[in-house]
Amino acid sequence: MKNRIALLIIAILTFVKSVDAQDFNPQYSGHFNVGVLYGSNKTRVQIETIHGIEFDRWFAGIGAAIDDYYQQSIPAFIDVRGAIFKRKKTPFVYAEAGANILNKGTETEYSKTEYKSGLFCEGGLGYKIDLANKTTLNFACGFSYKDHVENLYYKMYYGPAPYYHPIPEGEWSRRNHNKYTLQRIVMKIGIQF
Amino acid sequence: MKTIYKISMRIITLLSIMWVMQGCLKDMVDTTLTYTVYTPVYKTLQQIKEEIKTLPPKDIQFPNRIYFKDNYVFVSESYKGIHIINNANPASPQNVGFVDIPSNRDMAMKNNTLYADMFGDLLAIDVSDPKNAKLKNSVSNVFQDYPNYLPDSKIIVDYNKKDTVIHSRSSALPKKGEIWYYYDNGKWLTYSSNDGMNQSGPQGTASPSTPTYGTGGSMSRFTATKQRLFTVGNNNMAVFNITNDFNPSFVTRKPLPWGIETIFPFKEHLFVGSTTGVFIFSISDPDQPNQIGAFGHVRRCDPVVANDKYAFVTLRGGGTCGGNTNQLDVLSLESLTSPTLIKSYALDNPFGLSIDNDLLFVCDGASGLKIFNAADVSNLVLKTTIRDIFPRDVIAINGVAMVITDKGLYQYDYKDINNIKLLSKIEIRK
Repeated sequence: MKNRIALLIIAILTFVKSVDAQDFNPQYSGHFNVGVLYGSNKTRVQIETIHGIEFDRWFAGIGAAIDDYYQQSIPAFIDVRGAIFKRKKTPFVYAEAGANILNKGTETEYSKTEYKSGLFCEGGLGYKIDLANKTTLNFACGFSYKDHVENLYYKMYYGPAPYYHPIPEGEWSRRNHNKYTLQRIVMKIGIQF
Repeated sequence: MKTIYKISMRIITLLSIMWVMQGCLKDMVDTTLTYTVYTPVYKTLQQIKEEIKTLPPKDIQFPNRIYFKDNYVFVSESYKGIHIINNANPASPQNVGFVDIPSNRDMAMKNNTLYADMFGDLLAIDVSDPKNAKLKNSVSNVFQDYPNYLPDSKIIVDYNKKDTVIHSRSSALPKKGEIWYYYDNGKWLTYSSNDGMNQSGPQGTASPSTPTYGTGGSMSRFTATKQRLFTVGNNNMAVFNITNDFNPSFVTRKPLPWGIETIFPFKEHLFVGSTTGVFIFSISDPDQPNQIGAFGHVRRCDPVVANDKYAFVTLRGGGTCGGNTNQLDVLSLESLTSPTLIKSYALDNPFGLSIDNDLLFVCDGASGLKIFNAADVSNLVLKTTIRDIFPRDVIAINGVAMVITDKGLYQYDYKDINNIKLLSKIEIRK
């Protein structure tokens, strides 16, 4: 899965690089998108903002999102997208890749959860409609992937009586290492300005 | 209208594709579960008692209680036994040996006799020669809330450990936000030995005319004074007559409310800490401790120490202690029958404490060892904080603070409060 996404990004970047230098007239552009994430777990919302430069039919920028699917995280990514036609209404393709950032975790007296950030990738097709004042309405649909690692630790607690147990109290004595790979379909609507 | 129709159709098409594809997606979790299988090692009670003697020194792994007498520090290893440390020179403490006492948690001393619990039994161990400790006597099945055994049954004294790792791949199910704890998994640590040193034992004889007692940490459940050994269980206090050092005899048991945690002696009184308050007992008749006062508080874990005028109580919240507040309460003992709260001071995660004249030492968990000037209890002044340790209990005596920490036994010289020095440390090795 990761290899396929990486190949897609490389292909897009190669294509972008091949754009005729004469077409190169970069301008700042930003995106604000709201999406819905469908997967085998509960459907959740994604909100993202992307900022970068637009040149000819292409856009490249960096973005960040709030991704509430399964385990809330903040993907930070590079976004590349290109319109298929040079028209006011045109389909486009896009790809995003970066880090899926989580908080450090939580700790109570007898349990501890550590999160480690993982990979975030997304790619898909969309349709853009130019509105007035260089504003564009975008619809998009794609595949979104994120992963992360969760380490769970537990301390022993024997209750008030001093029963003879092999493990003294107070140690992080048990560990679960979980790597989550989450695959979603994303549908977005947003504004490019 | 035509455009709207086109857009609508495209959206419907997209939604249909998504709906179809959603079934192809599967959130997965790859789990590596690390756990340990423990196989019990059994011995008979007779075997256990025959083997109670000083073994070569062992590394401290899970220190629990601390006790100081004469020049010796006794550190209990949770459920395993007691380390004997010659502390004649606190800058260079010598680990003398280890007394193997399965299930042991608490201890106290009179003269050269170490009283320790083993399952439901009380043991009297002669440590006049710490290198050659000997079990002198025991009182059977006196600790009601400790696990007991049948006379002829075999007792678990150790566990053989086998680490196991299991890999699995499964669907990532929705989280419920609830964690359940298992009671039988974890890490088992093995002993390693060091060569000991020949040392003379604690001062005194088996039964001198003037008995001498040691000083226990504030988290202790055992204390010895006035020719008696007082122990607290979860809901009771037991009294043993130790006039004859090597032959303790059970005297009485007093029922107490549930949640009893610690016991601290001061002159003619015992201060008993519980999860719901502090109880004050008069021991003018040591065979019949008489509750004369109490101070209630919200449910917390609370070791207590006292001097002539005040009692100092740390209240720790969280986990099994209940609540979330963490504080130090200073109580006036002007009237022992009705102690009153003078002032509360906020702390972070307090455990044991100790007082030496006007200096109050408080183990404040991850926030370190805090040392207050307690000359004016209405205005405790934090003199210094020793950070980078997680202290659990402390005995401050004669200018030396002996601190049980997450890293081992640390000792500090506080004769000059403005220049506290780390004298030594015996570090935990696991």
